[in-house]
Amino acid sequence: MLKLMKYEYKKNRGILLGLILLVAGLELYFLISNGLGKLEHMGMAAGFLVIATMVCFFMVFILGITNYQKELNSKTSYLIFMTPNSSLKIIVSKLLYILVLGCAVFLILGSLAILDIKLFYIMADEKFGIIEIVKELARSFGVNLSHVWIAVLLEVISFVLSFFSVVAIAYLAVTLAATFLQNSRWKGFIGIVLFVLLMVLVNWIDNRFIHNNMFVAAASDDVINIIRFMVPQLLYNAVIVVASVFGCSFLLDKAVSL
Amino acid sequence: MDFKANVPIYLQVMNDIKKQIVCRQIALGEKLPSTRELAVKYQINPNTAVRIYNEMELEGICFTRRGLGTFVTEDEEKYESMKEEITQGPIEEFVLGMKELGYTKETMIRAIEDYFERG
Amino acid sequence: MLTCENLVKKYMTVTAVENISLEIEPGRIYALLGPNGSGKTTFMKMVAGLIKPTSGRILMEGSPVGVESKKKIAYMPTESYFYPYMNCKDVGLYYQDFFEDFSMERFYELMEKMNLSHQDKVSKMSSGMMAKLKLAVTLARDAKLIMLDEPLNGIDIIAREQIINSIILCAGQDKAIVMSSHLVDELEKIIDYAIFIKNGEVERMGDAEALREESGKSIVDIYKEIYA
Repeated sequence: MLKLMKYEYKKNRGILLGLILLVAGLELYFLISNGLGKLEHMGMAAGFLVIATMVCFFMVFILGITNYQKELNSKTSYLIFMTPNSSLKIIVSKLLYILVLGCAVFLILGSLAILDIKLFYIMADEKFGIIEIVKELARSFGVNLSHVWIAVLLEVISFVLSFFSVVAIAYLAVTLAATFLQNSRWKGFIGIVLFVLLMVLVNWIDNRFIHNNMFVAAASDDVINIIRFMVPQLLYNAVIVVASVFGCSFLLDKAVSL
Repeated sequence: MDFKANVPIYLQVMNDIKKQIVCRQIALGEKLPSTRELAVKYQINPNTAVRIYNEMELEGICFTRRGLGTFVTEDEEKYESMKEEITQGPIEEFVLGMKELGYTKETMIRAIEDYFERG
Repeated sequence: MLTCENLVKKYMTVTAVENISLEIEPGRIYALLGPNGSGKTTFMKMVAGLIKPTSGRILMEGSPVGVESKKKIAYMPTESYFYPYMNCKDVGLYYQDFFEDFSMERFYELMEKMNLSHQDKVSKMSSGMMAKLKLAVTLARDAKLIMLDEPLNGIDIIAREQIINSIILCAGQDKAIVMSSHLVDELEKIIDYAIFIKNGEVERMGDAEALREESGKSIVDIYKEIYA
């Protein structure tokens, strides 16, 4: 599994390096302006960093999916599919790689964000501690850190799972398009259409049967309530991920010709 | 060695090896290449190489010592019979060819003598 | 060792493989002969697990195509299939990572014989070098079934002898080598068994020596006869 993930990384080395350099450059800009006391430049740098953060997260998502799609469309897929790895392992390795990449991006950018915000506050002479800053950041993601640790854990897992459910559905759409439209020009277009259709379907089921009470959960202080409201959504997303992964694996085993 | 299409490959290689033994290019008692080396040398299938040595062993031309390899026989009598057998081919070919051109036994011998006289 | 029963592969507009049934035994070198488009590559890719048959069965040492069969089967496609960022050494390391029967030593040996250097980049290689790299990495695996799709394509005449030598040295009693080619005369001497594929079916097959004896012709001539 790790070996497969290693090669996923090697394929992206160029782009990842580019992103790191971009973020490092912007952070340097920020730090230098901070050192020189130029608030205006700090603001600019911060603005760019926010955009860069969004770009990074977006790239993780996009890279994960385009890597897979490009691979199924090119002969380099032979390299992976001739190895004695089950298609399940191959798909899971790709998803795990996205997870690891996402975590890395989160940790790096998160730490930079905390550092930069703290520096801002120091400049403004505000005495907000790191803890407050972290709490605020978390709140913007829908995670309430004042809750009991179980709730926090569930909220984080929920966030990650809903992200992965979208990725998994995208993988399924790509695999379906590759199964039925082997050499067609329309493969990419149909893939996107399938993705949209699947997302609509999934959301419809969600709204109809699974009550999305994330906000209630976030506001509530009663642990039992929180768990009661979050678990259905969690399970639903988990089912989507598992079903999509097994669906892709089945298609790759029985139907996809490279 | 040029390969002919209508004669089995193993026979052609066997004849080539026999020729080399008769011409003393390969000495009696000399170690022959391994089947793999033989296959590479003649660019033939390794199984064919095995078959060649098997057939030659059956004819008594060589013998195999486990772990040491395959060796040409040291039997002088065998050498003489090989020589006779090998020379049959060219002689037969010559005689039949000359017969086709209308030569008799006597005129054939005269033609050979003339050829050598001319140098 | 390898059993194929009634293999069929139909695409939307064309049938690549109509019906192929055959057995591959260890200790032999097979030639899969036929012009382009006859179904040889589709057949090989089905055995390698890259293409899924429309119907029919493939059993490698008793089990169907899957993770276990891929451990024992080494397939060399006609296409270039390495990641562009790789160089020769990276390709070797990849194979070493995933194939237990891969020998890095053998790979280096073969690369040297074929004049490939470790740093040569896949993206900058000529087609001849790529052809040699594919061969080197495939033959460096001690697989039970080695399938080479057009192994002599793109190889200059002088290097061809080298390639054939490597194939001869690779052969063994416990493994089978299947080569597809339309360069029949180069392979005439080294094959045990010839399989002629025409229009996705087996037109004729048999022991090479037996075929030559019964028709009084070389494999090349039989080929011309079948496909003329």
